[in-house]
Amino acid sequence: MRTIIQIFFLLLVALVVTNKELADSGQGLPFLSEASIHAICPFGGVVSIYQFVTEGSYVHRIHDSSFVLMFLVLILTLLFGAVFCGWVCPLGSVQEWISKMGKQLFGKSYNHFVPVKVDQALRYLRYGVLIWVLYATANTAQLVFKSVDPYYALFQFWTGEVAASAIITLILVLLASLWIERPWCKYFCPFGAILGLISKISLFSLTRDPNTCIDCKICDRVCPMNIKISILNSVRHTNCIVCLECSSEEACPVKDTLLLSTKLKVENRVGEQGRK
Amino acid sequence: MKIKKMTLAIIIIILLIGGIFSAQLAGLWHTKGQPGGPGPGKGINSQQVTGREKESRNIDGHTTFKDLLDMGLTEKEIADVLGDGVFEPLLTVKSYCEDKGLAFGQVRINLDALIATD
Repeated sequence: MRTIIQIFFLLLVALVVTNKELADSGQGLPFLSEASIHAICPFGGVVSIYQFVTEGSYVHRIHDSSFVLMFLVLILTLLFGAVFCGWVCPLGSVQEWISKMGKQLFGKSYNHFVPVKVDQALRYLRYGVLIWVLYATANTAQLVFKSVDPYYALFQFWTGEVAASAIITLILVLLASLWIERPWCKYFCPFGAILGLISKISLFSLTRDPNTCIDCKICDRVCPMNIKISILNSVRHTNCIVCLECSSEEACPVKDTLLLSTKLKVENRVGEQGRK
Repeated sequence: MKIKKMTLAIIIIILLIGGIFSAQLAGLWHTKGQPGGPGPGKGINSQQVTGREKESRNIDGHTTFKDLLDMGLTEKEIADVLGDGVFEPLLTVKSYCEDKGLAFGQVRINLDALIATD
């Protein structure tokens, strides 16, 4: 089901940005939006907030639609966590599909090449990227991130307007996906950094029932983001993309043990266990 | 309360796609121009362009205002097409159009036509 949703959003974005290029040549499809890639990027709303608050205008190339999408993704994240990353983001989907080749090539070693301590340290990089992007965008009122953004390069590489640095970033990210699952999401994505922080207070989260868990650690092995799910009761990890690959509907062999659920239920159960 | 994968998928589609349609109905969905409105076609010279002129392609996404001046257009002619005489020479025409909410395709056709008649 998740793959269908991922393909749907990938095709939707590809169609809209292709139609924009066609429309510029006077050949666009009338029933399809002619929005640019920037106009349908929710992160565009985030980088424009400072200018919007201080001057009432948007950063160059950002429009009302970016703000609307930013709010819709914010609502989704407050409800369910970073589902945008796991279900919607086309760049995340492409990395994930390439990772299937990596799994075929390297088997169980796949996604475990980076030493744990290095991996943990690298995960802070995306906050650095986020601070740099927000600061530089606020200072210049330009989309500075565009010059290295692999998402932009993924959908616009054929237009000849993408900076070489962005295309190189995209190629490196796609290549790295053969060894590491979702390397851009884990280490560099500034939008994922924000969504991960917001997901800490989401209404629903992945919850593990310690009463029925058999400690098989399958959940740990299937997690694309290398989260140690088996030691958590409520997975409110900043890297969780809510893909639900570990859940009782997918990998977990025990029914109703790993579920997307409200926090209250697990806390109550843990409370009950404590009283026993 | 728990949520199944299928339910989550449906909620994501409804919230995102439904949200976009709702924003369109409420007049909040603008993919061009600055806050509060699209500003489409503002100041565009509405001269008719023939099929032959359409084939002439001097301008693409990389063309800057300096390039236009080098092609022989005057600042006044460019300003007539854009409806605004304020532009940075090194800015691309496409970027300018996206920023101002102008249809680049139409602006390009009009500028191409001017170049062809020069």
